[in-house]
Amino acid sequence: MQKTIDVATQFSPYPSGRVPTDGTYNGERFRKEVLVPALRAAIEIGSSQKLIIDIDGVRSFGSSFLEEAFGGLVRTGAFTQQELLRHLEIRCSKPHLRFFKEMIESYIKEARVVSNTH
Amino acid sequence: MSARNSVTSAENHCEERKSRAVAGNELLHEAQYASRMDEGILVTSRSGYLSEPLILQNKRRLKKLYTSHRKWHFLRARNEARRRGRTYVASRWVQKYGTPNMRAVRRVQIWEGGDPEWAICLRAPVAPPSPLCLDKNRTESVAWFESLRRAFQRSINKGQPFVKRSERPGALPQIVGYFDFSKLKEISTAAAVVLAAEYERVGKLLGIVPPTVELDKWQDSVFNKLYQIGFFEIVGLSAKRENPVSEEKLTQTMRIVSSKNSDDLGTIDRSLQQLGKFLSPDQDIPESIIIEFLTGLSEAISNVTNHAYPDDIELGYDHINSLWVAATADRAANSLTVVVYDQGASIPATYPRLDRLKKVVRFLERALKPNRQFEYEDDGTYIRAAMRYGGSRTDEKHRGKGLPQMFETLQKIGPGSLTVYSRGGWCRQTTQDRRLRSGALPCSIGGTLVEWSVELSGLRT
Repeated sequence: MQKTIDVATQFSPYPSGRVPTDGTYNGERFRKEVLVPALRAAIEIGSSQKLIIDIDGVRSFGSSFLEEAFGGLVRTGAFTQQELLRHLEIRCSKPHLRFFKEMIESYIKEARVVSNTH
Repeated sequence: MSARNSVTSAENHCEERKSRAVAGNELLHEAQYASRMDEGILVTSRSGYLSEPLILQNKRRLKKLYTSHRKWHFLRARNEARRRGRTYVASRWVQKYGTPNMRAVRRVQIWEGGDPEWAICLRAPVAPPSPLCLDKNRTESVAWFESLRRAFQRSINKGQPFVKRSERPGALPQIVGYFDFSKLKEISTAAAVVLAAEYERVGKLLGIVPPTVELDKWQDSVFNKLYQIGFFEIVGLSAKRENPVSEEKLTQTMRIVSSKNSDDLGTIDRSLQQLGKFLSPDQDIPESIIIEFLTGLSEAISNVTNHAYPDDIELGYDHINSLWVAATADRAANSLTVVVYDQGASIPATYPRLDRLKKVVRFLERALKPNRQFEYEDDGTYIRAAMRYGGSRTDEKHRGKGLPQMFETLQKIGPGSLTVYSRGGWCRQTTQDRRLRSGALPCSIGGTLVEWSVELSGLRT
């Protein structure tokens, strides 16, 4: 069972920046308003539930946005890396976006808990 | 000749001069002679000849024409001409003996967005350096931008309008001086962005912008570049065009986007796609290239919003917390150039303030000069460190991807260069050899300007 979130249509095709002062569609907002509720719901359902993040329609991907949105899931103590590996999947069909998929996965892997401020 | 005869001959000479004087043109000479005769300073001996002591005595009694006297006579002549309903033009005397400011008074045509009108300009205009380009004429261009900024800041501090209008009917408006863009032969996209940003800043802080002066005398290339970049729209002198992109021969330029964050990325995306179509009408510019550009822009904009306008740094000039983005496509070089500019604290001001990783500290210790010859001499070194190591900090390893990622973005697109100007320093990195070249100037660009230039070789028409 899975739920899909299309970043371009359900959030913005131009997500950018970390915090609200960087722009309306920033990483912190995406994490708090979209990722965290959807992941919590997926975890509650069970280990077979996956949350798929489709990045195909996105037109710009700043590293700041990606790190804040995805690395922040671990950094803020909201989830562990194991939970994310089990319940989170990044999907892209366009070859030139695979770099961003790998970037997201590396941010999740390298993130360390700094504070529980999710 | 008797003493009386010599004085009489002097009087006759004076009368002769008076009768020959043309109203308004030789009033000063007349005034000089009149004042001399009134004081009776022509003293001669009984024989009529002037001996040495008498010459010296006369010289002591002659009034030297100080600047304040000249100014008084000049103003009197001008007001006299006005009373007679004549337009004052600096006389031959003023041209020869007047101070530079007296000689500079002239009529010029100004434009404040409505109909052009005549105005009196009180001082000689100042011409910007030509070409106005951060690449071809870096030192003079940056120095001129600094002088422009100082001039505008003085106006902001005084709060006075640029055009003074008298209530007297028929009086022409007055401007103190202006920058003479008719002498400018070439202006680059980056320089045009900085110029537009300065004008927008003074317009927002003062509520009015300086008028354009002698617009019909500007070179076509300069006018077209500023028109394409939206200079007249951004300063409020003309209405916003429907199409943000405009074309001229072999170049197409995106109208400058003035923003406070990354919310205008959509507008920039649509403009970049148009520029891509201009470079290659038969073949769409690959989506991957546009996404790489937008990603780099997104990083640059994040840098500005995060670092450029901190509350705890004194910027020296009032700012409007904005950033400006523009782009140009050049068919001849098959290249796309994107420029981002902010008027914030600059990299050299913010970089040294934070705890950096050890490797960054070691680099800075080696590269910084122990005895600086001018204030900004180390600025190029700080920019070089930022381009090599990013904003790497000891406490926030997950941040600071900034400039190095922008260069990685460039490498994926094609051959080109990334150039950063910040305060007095500059640094350039090309994809050909990845070497960092940097330098410093004794003047400041007033913020940070990032310029990507990439050759889209795969899309040759």
